[in-house]
Amino acid sequence: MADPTSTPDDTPAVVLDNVSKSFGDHTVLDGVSLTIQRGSIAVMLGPSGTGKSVLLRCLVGLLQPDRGRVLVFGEDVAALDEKRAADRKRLFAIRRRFGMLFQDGALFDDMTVFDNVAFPMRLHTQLSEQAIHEKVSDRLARVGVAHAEQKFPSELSGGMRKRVAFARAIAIDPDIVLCDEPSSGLDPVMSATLDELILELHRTLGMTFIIISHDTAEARKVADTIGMLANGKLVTFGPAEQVFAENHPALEQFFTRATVGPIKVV
Amino acid sequence: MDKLLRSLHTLGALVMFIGQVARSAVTPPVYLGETLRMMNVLAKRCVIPVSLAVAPVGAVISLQGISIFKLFGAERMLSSFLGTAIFREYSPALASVMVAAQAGSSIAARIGTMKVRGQIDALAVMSVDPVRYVVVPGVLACVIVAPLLSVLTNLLGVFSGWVFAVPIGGIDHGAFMEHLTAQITPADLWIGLGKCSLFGLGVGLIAGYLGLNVGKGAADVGKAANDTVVSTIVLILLVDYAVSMALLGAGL
Amino acid sequence: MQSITQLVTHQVRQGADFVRFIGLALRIQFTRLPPRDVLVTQLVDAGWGSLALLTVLTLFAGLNLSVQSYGSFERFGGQDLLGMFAGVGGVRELYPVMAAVVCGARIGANLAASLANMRISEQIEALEVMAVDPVHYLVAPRLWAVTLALPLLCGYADVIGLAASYAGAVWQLGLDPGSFISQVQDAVRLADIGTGLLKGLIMGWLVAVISCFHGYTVAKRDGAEGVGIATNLAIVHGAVMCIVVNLILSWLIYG
Repeated sequence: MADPTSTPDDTPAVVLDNVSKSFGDHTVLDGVSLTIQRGSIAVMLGPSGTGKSVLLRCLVGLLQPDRGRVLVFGEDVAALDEKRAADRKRLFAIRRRFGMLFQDGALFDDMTVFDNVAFPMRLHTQLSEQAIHEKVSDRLARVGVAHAEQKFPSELSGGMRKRVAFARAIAIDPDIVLCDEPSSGLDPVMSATLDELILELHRTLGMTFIIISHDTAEARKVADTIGMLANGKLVTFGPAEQVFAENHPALEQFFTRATVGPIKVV
Repeated sequence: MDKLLRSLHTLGALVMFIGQVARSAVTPPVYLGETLRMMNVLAKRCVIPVSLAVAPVGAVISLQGISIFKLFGAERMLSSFLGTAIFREYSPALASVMVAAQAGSSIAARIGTMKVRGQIDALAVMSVDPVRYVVVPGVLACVIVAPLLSVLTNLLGVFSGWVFAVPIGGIDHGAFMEHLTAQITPADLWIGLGKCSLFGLGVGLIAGYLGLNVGKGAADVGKAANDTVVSTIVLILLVDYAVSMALLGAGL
Repeated sequence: MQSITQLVTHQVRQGADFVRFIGLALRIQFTRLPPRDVLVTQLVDAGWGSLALLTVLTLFAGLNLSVQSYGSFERFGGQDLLGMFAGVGGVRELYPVMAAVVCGARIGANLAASLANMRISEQIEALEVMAVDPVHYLVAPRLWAVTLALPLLCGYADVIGLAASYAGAVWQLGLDPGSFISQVQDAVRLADIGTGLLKGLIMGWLVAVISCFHGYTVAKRDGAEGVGIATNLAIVHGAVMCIVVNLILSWLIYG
């Protein structure tokens, strides 16, 4: 079901239509519109505090935008109100199509690595315990932490925690995997390992990846679609080669690590 | 065996810690400003919870006591029992338990947060002794603030007892007042206040120790706050019992 | 002056949030069964985990009740009332309140700290993304566990406390054992024990709701500090609430 070629339907995975969001008088998203096709790896770049994280949370309905539409496989998530039972059911159905890798992993402290990865399977699938066991082992082997099954998150290093969280994010074959700053807090070698993992999973499982990051090396390595958010606006968005060729000043500033440019240091 | 060794180790560390606090408290520099600031903060934070917690005790003693004393036609003696029970036992013990709940847990959480965020190490790097600067003011503040709060709760406890005995329970006001003052001795008051200081000392020391020895994550901060409250409550009851026995033995 | 208005509005807003949380908790608690494995873990944690602490505390509270009241009663020659006082005072008031305040502080602080930690480390958001309702998965089983555990703990405290009072009165103070026991038997009715358990039930639920509220509603950006504050508020509000609610219940029942 994750393989985009097997679904005849070619609605884009995600469409944002003029999405705006403010907290108090601070506008974090200002009329953002974009389309992410199925099976792509989209990297959203931007300085800290420009609403990348808010964008991600709008996709799964953790936050409601003030204006605009958020279409996930054609269904408007922004129109669903979590407080209404019927909407809530549909929202939860949509969320099951997502996997999310949180910044610090967000692994459940009181569960072992195995139980963390098995958790979404036990809740949302009818798999037998035997089948779950096989699938968890497969997921953990893919991210290279098969040996840590019975450990608790507190016993793992940062890189391992993130990889376990990755295994949990892809546990029930989501259609879209969201990654919140996958390389933050990791050393360059470990972030490169994680990037290769993303490419590998994309190649073998064919999921759509939406990654927010401020790591330009990561964007160059994995992205086939690149967007850049600055001061709440989407300053550039498109296929990676095209965006690199066009070389928007904000993007250039980001890639060259310049202190002078459209992005203001506050 | 391993567990025993670890407990002994903790005990040893605690004793060393108490020694360190004691030395820091009596040798200069004493951070007086920080101590006064802590006293102010603790007094403000504790006064409402401590009052709310201790005041009902007087009421409950009157409520339940009246029926018992009436059986023997001795309801006029109720205030005498109420007064000594509040001044000597319930007000100090309960005020201290609430000081442990409020001040102890917030001191442990504060020091624990500082430790987790590296601020304790930052102090040490700036050659400020963390025990002297962070722990000692908290301990001193607890020792001073706890008995002050107890004075307040003594009055509140007796007052709420009066409310439930006289207007509600129908005991004569004159008889209530007469027996109240007849049985309370200055010794009762001083014993109560002394116990409060002692308990306050325990609260401050345990909160400081557990705060400084917090684990490394946010969850450990909560655990330090929790452990402080639980262990100080145990300590308060143990010491309270020991003191009661000793005073009974001494005929006070 | 402005800070006072700010403080008042903050308190009012928090009060409104709390009322809303109670509504949410009640709905979730009574419309769907809580997840069983979480409920079992929480029950064991709240009940079994509090036993050692409660044993030590009621042991000394029972002894204290005898020894301290003796001092007060002796002054007007009322030593003979001790058994009655220890029985009635203990079973109706002291042991339920002790169990609720002390176990409530331990359990409540645990609940608040664990939920707050889950909030700041994005574990609650992770549940939501996995299409799991965190209130149903996390809060409901905790509410049930504490509500069920506290009355049992109160009953246990009654037994230990009465035994300790007896030990204190007979062995330490040398009172007549037969008279002590008959006084306790005369004074303590089955209804009194029932009232104690009822108090435990009500206070248990309130402690759980208060702690879950403080833990669950912590702000992500507050980090470790937020966890500490939530723990502290859970302990203090829980303890104050237990004592005040106990007075109200006693007044309603015995007044």
